[in-house]
Amino acid sequence: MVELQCIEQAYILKNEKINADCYEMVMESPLIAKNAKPGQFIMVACGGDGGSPLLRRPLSIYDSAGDRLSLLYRVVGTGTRLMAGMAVNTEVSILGPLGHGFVLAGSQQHCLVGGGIGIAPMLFLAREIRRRFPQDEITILAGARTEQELLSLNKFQALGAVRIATDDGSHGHHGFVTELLARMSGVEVVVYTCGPGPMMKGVATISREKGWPCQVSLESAMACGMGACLGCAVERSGIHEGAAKYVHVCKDGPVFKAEEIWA
Amino acid sequence: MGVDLSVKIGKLSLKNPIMTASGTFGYGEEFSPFVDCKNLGAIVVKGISVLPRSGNPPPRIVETECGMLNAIGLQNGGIDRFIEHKVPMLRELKATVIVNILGDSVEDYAELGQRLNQVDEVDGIEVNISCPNVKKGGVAFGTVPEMAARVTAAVKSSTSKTVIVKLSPNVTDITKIALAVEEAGADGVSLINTLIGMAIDVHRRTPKLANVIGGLSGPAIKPVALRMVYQVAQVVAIPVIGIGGIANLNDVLEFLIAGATAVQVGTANFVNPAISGELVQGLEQYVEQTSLPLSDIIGSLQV
Repeated sequence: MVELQCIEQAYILKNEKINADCYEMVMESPLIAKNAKPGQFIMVACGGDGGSPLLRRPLSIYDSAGDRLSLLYRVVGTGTRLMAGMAVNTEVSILGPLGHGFVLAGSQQHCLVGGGIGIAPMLFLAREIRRRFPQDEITILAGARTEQELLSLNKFQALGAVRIATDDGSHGHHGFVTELLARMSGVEVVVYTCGPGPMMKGVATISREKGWPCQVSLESAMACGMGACLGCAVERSGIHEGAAKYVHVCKDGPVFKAEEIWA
Repeated sequence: MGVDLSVKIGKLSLKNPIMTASGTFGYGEEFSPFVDCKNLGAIVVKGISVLPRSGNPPPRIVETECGMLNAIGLQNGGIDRFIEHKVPMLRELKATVIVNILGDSVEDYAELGQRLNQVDEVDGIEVNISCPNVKKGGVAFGTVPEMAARVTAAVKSSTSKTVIVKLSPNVTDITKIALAVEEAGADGVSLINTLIGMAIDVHRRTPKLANVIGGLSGPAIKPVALRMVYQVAQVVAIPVIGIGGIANLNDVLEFLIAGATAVQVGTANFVNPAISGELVQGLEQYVEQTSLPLSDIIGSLQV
């Protein structure tokens, strides 16, 4: 919701390397933490001070509790590399909370499917489901290329049943995380997913075949994050003309019903 | 505040020289948590065409050194949707609203001018002439003086509202275009629009933009924009509005000194959504502290 957005000078409490290229940052950011919902994101200023790198970086909210906001991010370029170097006890400018988060309703079973760094928004989601629907079952399917790239398993294990898939078989099922989803059964199941595009498309297909509603969390290069620049366009499923052809990840998403993106 | 920052573009009076640039500020409401639009000189809303346009396929944006490329593709819902859905919302903002218009043909521009002439909430029109003229093989209106003049005249005939023509920098001599649109009746010119550029992904060996080329904006283009504002201000009598990489008060002052009556801030809105309001305050403080009226600053460059 536009009126809840703000720019906040967040105070870095922790910025810790988790594996070869992923970091966890915890910030004191009372205004944004207070209003953040699972599935929303923030735009982080990476220190170029409006010069270079010019633009803020969009990152999912990993966790939010009390005054504290957490990010789980992977170093993929200039901006995230600068973030990895940010010191504790310094400030970082963040804009948020942005976008539409996951839609939550009670269900017998909630199935959260995360691929690689895409598992980041799933933590906040799992916590919120646990808080609001304590009787519901939560299953987390975590996929990664290899064991070293699995993230936050202990945190997820405290919230639900965790099943793992690795491309190289170094941990858990040897294969894709979608294969774990395909093996699942149940009548009242809702699916949420975030990760590489082909993985999410696979999750959407399997969910549709099983008759389970599915929400997908997309990402895109962004300039503003606020719905002004129109840079983060993604094609909608189906044939559409004119203004209906594209949706925007920052303000129509980042969470979409799967069928809006993949028919 | 006791400081007078008002400037005039034709018969349109702006409370201060700070405007927001088309395509960078949505329709104003997106920025409501950060800026009170009625405190700005004006907002220029995203360009409107006769028919809805979906825009280009992604990727539409790429960050570059001190800037960014965009190939949004002039996505907008069309004039009907604008009048029905966006105007009521603009009314609530109580801002000075300038509507940017774009077309494939001279007739398109005239039609948009006519339709917007009926809308009270619209205080002025900004004509985007960087679009290709579909009837002339896609040559951009803004690259040929005669075509730029024809579009200007057509819009001027269609409306009694203030008409500002937004010039393209992708020309050999921008002063020729400026003179042609002035002669055709423009109340003011705004420059520059984006510079055409591209970026390449060396791993995939493909352009980073789906459209291959796009418009460069941000601090990187400021020196070019400033030079063009200076050159145009030397040759036209109508007000010049400066656009290009403005990110702070110093930048604003550079453009005013070069001869701009007002400025538009664009890409900087993405970096700091509150920037436009901050620039108004900064300019107020500057004028108050130096006791220099704006008229002493505008065009005061000593060469």
